[in-house]
Amino acid sequence: MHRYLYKLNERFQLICIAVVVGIFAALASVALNRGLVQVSEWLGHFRGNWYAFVFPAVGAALSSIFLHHVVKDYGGHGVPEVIYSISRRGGLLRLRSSYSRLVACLLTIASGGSAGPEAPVVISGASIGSNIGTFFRLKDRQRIVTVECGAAAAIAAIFNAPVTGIVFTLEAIAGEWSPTHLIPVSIASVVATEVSRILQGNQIPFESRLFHISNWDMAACIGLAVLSALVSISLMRMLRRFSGRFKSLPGLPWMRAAMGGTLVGLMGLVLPHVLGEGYEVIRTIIEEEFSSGMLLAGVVLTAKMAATALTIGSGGSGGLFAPCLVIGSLTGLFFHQVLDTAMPAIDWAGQSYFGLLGMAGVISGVLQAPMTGVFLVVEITGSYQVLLSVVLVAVISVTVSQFFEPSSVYHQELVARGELVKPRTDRHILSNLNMMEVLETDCHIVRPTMRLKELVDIVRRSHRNYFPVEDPESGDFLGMVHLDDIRSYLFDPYLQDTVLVEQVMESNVETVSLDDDLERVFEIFDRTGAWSLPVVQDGKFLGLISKATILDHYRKELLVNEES
Amino acid sequence: MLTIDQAAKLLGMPKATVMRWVRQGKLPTREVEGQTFIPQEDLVRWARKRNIFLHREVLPAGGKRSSKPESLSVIVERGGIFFGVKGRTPTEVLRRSAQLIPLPPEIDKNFIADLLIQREKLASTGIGKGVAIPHPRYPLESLEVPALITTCFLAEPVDFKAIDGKPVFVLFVLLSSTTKLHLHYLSRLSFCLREPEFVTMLSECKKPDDLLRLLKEKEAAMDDA
Repeated sequence: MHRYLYKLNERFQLICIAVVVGIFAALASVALNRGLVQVSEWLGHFRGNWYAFVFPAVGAALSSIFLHHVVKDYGGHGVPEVIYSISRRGGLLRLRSSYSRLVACLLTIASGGSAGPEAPVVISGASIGSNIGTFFRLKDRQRIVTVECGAAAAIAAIFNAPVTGIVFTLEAIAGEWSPTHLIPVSIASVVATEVSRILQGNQIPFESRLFHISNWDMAACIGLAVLSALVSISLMRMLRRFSGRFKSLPGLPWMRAAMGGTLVGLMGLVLPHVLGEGYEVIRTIIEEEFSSGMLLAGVVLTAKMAATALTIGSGGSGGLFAPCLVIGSLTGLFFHQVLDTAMPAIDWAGQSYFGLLGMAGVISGVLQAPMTGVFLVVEITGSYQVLLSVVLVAVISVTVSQFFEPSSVYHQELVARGELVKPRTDRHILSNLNMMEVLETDCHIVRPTMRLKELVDIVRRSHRNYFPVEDPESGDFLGMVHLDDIRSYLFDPYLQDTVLVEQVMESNVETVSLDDDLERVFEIFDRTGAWSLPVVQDGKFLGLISKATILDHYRKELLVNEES
Repeated sequence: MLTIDQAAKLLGMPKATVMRWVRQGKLPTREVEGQTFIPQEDLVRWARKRNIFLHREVLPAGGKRSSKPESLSVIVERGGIFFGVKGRTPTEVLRRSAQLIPLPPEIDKNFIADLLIQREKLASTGIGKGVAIPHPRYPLESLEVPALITTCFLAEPVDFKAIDGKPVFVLFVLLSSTTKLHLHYLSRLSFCLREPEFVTMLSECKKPDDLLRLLKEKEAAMDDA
């Protein structure tokens, strides 16, 4: 099979692999979906009992134990890991990531934790893509594409929304739109959607009715957009704060998860809406059956936000997609009730319409990916007539959200670790080059006891301006002689015989080591104004690193990255 | 086929960088028995597309093949002589002529045609008196065949924007593997063409033997001199 694939043109090769990735990623998401339904149904029998509030705690604890002790994978919802793998590791992901998060999130969500199955499916799909790519011995550049295919396929299959899969992957994960990525990703997305339709039927998750949209509604959209942006910002901040709080608590990870779960369980006793992925809430709002006043809508909204922050912040496993949608629809509902109370004379388009827009607003605001929000809402509700309002809400929400929170919920973690490298940026190129590649070793090394005269001889033979000084016995690096500093004494015959190298050398020079990344090197270049820096490891001089050589490499790197 | 080391020298980059490019899938590669090689034609095309300079002198010049110059009549015979080549523009006739060059099947003739056309775009190879000597911009080191000249008499004269403005009636397509050989054949050919009667006789050639006889006589005279 390998052999036939290699004969194909690279693009066809990727398309064929995209089909395979699409099928497997779709199977993973269908499996998770079925599992969730089964387990929730089974647990539903016990839901009415007084002890039901411990379910989320048990589920979260089990999921934490499974992740940390059984499969020994990383925690978290996994999307930052996918982004990191694409930007820095050539798309490498562990094989165990393809199922570990699925099991963990099944335990968390089915037991009532407030989280979504989408992010775990994304990392599973991505890991499937990565490992299939490795199986076909793809190079980094192509494996990145198969990882993206996996992510797109997962989203497409779980929502039955092919375009959302494509857009989400390019916008939130890859961060670039180019045909080499777009085509295989689209193929994987389409294949995955088809597989999911064959296995679970083609149904629009939250089919909505037709709306009558007036100009008043359009104007109200702006208000809703701002409100949903504010909700997004507070959700992001709550998540950060809760996760910081929980991390500072003593005890093992599973104990913290259990604690978060207990709190969520207790909330669920009073407000069962906050439990689980919460798609039932969306369905009732879209079908205009959520009969509650403004106050209750507000309370449920806040409770759902808190439950989500508790579940995910305490270390439960699951994504933000579903909670964002639920929170969004509740935001829309709340906004509608406010409008209805404040201006009862106007015939508003209904809670379903605003619920829809709220979903787009919150998803876009939290992921900071407007197109993902737009297409997701349009595809899962099947209503293209709201497109105009949805776009409006999504872009305003992103703008406001970015103003207060500069990076999306997925990027935050990477930004905090200083590891966010967007494609086609200076950082991306610098992170590719390593010190060994730009090290120049053709240097003339001088001794500290040399007379200036001998140095002049070396200068004559060399084409460089910098001369490292080494201790002849220990071989330790002592300092540098910079031609510019000594030019005025060089040709003075009297000084030539009397001055020693150690008298003219600069011993207090900035040095870099092989482990430094080029970003730090450039900081030093900028700060000191130097053109060359000595590379010193364990006190020994290894070579020089100069701006000129880096420019040469940098330019080559840019040229090489051009798509053919 | 080039090894990673050779490719690194050709690109003027450290081996570590080239190895990383291979791993990242940025270079065209082929795997033979678990070892990675870089096909030279692919690399040249890849580099040209991205405007990356290749340090050509490190290439094995012609390999084991003898790079001793041969006589013009030998390489003209090797390249084949064709009459009535059709076309109205330089590009058209170059494309047709490239198809006529006797090359081993693994060499893409369209690629050769592209090289000829590219060179023609830089500056006309029409050297005057109705003669043009199309050739690629760089010698084809990778060409596993000895040097050759394919002679194409055109069905009707074509304007090559030659120095003297005369339309071209005959093409001598010159392919060689080193710069040195290339210059050698070029100077021999232009020596012949310098004489007006040679050109007149050239225009009267009706079959391949006429041209070969003409060249042999001319070369004999050249070597005597």
